[in-house]
Amino acid sequence: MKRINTAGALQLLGPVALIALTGLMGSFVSHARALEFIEALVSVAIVVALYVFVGNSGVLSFGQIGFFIVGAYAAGEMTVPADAKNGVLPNVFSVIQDHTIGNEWSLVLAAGIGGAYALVVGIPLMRLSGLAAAIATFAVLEITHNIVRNWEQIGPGPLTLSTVPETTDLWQATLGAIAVVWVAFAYQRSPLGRKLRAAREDPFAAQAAGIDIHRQRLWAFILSGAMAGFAGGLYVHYLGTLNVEDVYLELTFLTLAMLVVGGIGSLSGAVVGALVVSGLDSFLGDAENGEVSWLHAPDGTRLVAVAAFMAVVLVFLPRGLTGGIGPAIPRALRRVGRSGSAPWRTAPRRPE
Amino acid sequence: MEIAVAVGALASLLLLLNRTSLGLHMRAAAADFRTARLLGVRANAVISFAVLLSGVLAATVAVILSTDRIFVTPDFALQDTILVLVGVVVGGIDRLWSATLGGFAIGFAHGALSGFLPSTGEWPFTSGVYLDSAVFALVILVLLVRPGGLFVARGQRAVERV
Repeated sequence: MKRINTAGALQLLGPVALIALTGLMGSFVSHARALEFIEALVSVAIVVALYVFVGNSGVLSFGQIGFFIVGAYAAGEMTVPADAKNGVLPNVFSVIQDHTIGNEWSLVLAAGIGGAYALVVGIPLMRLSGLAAAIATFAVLEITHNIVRNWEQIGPGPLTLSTVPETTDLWQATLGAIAVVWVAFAYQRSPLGRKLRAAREDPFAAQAAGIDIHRQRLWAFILSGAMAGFAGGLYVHYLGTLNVEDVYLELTFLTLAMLVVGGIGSLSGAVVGALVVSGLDSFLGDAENGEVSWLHAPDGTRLVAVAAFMAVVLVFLPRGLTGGIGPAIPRALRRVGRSGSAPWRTAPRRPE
Repeated sequence: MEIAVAVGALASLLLLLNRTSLGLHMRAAAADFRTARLLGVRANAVISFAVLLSGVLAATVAVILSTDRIFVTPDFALQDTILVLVGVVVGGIDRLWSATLGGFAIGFAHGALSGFLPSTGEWPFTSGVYLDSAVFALVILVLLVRPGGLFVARGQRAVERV
């Protein structure tokens, strides 16, 4: 008999309700303002993709934005209309040149390529833990950026990819974000997700219980890579143009910050962090442009205020805004929460 | 001049870490935060001091760099900072010597590879524009072989591979 778990259902319904509410609010505002809601929903998809790996495994990864870049370029390049392709992508391989696919298939392709890339990268890298894993995945991001920026057979190189159909409307962004949340929820409730979280809590006990940590991390990494690729597909179809410098360090740090501010250990944390930070970001951006009647903010307010907000949240709520509503925040994290240890450094060390 | 400042800073840092009780407290807090506190180290104050110290050192570097580069911008030396951070981890972040050597090593690898790669050429890795890829591929390789740090003797750290 399947036990109906209210707390478990809330973990899914809470984030889904938030996303649906965001989508609904977006449908009542002007078209220009609705774009900000779409962007917030796309960032939910990125942050949840990050959460699936970082939150469940406790290993920090900068690599997901690399999979995001690959997914965004794949989806964008394959949907550029056939008659515009020669102008936008003059040097690419003929397989990209000769084929054009529809919007839905481009999202599937983005997820597939993101997942496949994560598999290739993950097989060696998932053996690493701690700081070494963080730096190695950061190296993956740097290499991805460097190659996409310079190899003109796979994309526009340093130029801007343009004439991508802007098909990510409010409806698609809402559905996409809900789909990503649902996948993340299904994963963390599955045996795979539970094994990985067991390995996060205590690697040695998990190994003794027969869990292959490398394999479990690899599963999460692939899933997270596929979701990041999918988010990239949504993103490129939202913007319509894409330059490789727009999806680099700033986006990497901002999305990671969203995850930490929301609460790294829970799905609701990922969603709340993404919505709150991008909401504040959009609002202050509007205020800078003089679009908010009661607040006139000078240029640069946005960056300073968002950063200050995140710092204040982390000083007063070290576990993030949600403080661990959702799948149990590990006890180990609770105890060391204030002492400055990041969750990925809490793995017990053998005596030296 | 730059070399004199670097040697001076490194020497005084070594003296501080190895010859004063404050340095001992810093190393204790780094090795095991909770145990250090139990033994009476005011670990929070020590960490604050460590942040202050690293800020002073970074400012020293910034003065030297700004005499070298004419344009000072808000993201001045961000790329260098990232590269050095990576180098420090690759070298072994737990000890001053291995971290310093790691910083040197990545700078050296960067310079050597940029001399080695021709300025034009086709993928893979035959053109200078892929310099970053080459350097970071090397970083991944080193991390896979020596996750604890390139200049840390084997067995000094818990195994970080699963």
